[in-house]
Amino acid sequence: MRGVFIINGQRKEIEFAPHKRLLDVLRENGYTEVKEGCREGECGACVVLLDGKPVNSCQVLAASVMEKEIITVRGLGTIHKPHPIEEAFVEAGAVQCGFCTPGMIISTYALLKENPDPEDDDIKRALDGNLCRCTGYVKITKAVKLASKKVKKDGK
Amino acid sequence: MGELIWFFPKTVEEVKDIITSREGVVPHGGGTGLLRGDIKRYRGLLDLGKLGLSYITEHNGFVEIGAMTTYGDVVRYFKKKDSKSVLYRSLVDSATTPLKNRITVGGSIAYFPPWSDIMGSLFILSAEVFLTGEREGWFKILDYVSNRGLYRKTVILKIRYNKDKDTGYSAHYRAVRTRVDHPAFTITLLVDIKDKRVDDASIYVVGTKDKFKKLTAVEKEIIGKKASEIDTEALNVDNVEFYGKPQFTSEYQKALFEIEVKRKLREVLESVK
Repeated sequence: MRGVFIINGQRKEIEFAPHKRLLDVLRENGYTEVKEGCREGECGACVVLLDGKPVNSCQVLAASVMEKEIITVRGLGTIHKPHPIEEAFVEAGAVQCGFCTPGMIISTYALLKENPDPEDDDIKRALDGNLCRCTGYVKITKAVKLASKKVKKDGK
Repeated sequence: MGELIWFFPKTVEEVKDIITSREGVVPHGGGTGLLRGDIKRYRGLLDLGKLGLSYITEHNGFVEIGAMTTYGDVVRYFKKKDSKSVLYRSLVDSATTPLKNRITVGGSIAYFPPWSDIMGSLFILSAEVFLTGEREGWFKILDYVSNRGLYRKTVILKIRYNKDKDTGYSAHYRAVRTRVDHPAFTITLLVDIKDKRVDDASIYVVGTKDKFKKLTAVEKEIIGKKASEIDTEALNVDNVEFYGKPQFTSEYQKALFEIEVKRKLREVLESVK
């Protein structure tokens, strides 16, 4: 089947099998920043924004989100022009192997849109679907707080 | 096996026509339940995303929730409106944030897995489901889950419950290893207090051998008593049996259940001012 997806602000017409998950459709079409981890909705490596809300793309059938707005981490910033949240993660040392980072950044973005001044508990709840096996979350929490300051300053 | 066919109805009439006339077509809400099985075994998926079924309204004393409303939507709504609501307490810790944004109310009721967080509260609230398909109209949720005839070739469009049902002291317990785990079972309770006495009580455990059970013995024992005088440790808890699950054995669940019913009830009764 063919369908149009609005990915990172661009309309893309994509051919895909009707049983395909959004995760697979994105990765097979070059959006490899969306990571494949557990495929069970447990790890959060594949989190993208769907109409502004974070979802596990492995738990979404692609056909059900045709014509919807999807934002991957590449839609927030680039290596040359990183988003303040991405800068904060680097500055706080919250990135080690980096596999969970795209999902973490997306979940942080969604949190800060809803709550620009999150407390520790708000951060824990917003990132409860993102597993990191390297950092132990202390630096990630610090990064989110730093990102909160940066985003407010940059107005993003 | 042929290729999976998607249907994207824009009206309820189209939904009814598709679900009644085609074999092997199942409704698609958020898809999280369907993806736990082999998606290729279905002939068709009936997507409910274009019917405007994502809403929560309150009118004529009823709270009405569209079938495509997600757990995330429910939590955000009640967090602002009434964080003491039994529905809020049941769903706030029900899944991770990204999953909550995908699990739908209608899908959860139709799927009704043993780890369901929502069903106990809907039983307590005496909720009703509105169906279209071979059967149409409002049906009590207890009838819906016990009558396969209501499930076959029907689609849930919305649910409702009387707002007056959700006015007591509520609590929800999840038997989990970590907060984001699927619960082995859940206990949901709502206690109405008048003049510091238990006026009414409704307690359900979901995830038992019979799928769910109303704890009538405990309810009977506490109704009419002064909240401060109830010795929860001395309560005779209903006999409930569990199947062994990957996370806990049946014996462990039984022991945990008896402890947690008393503990949750004590917490609720102690919070009575």
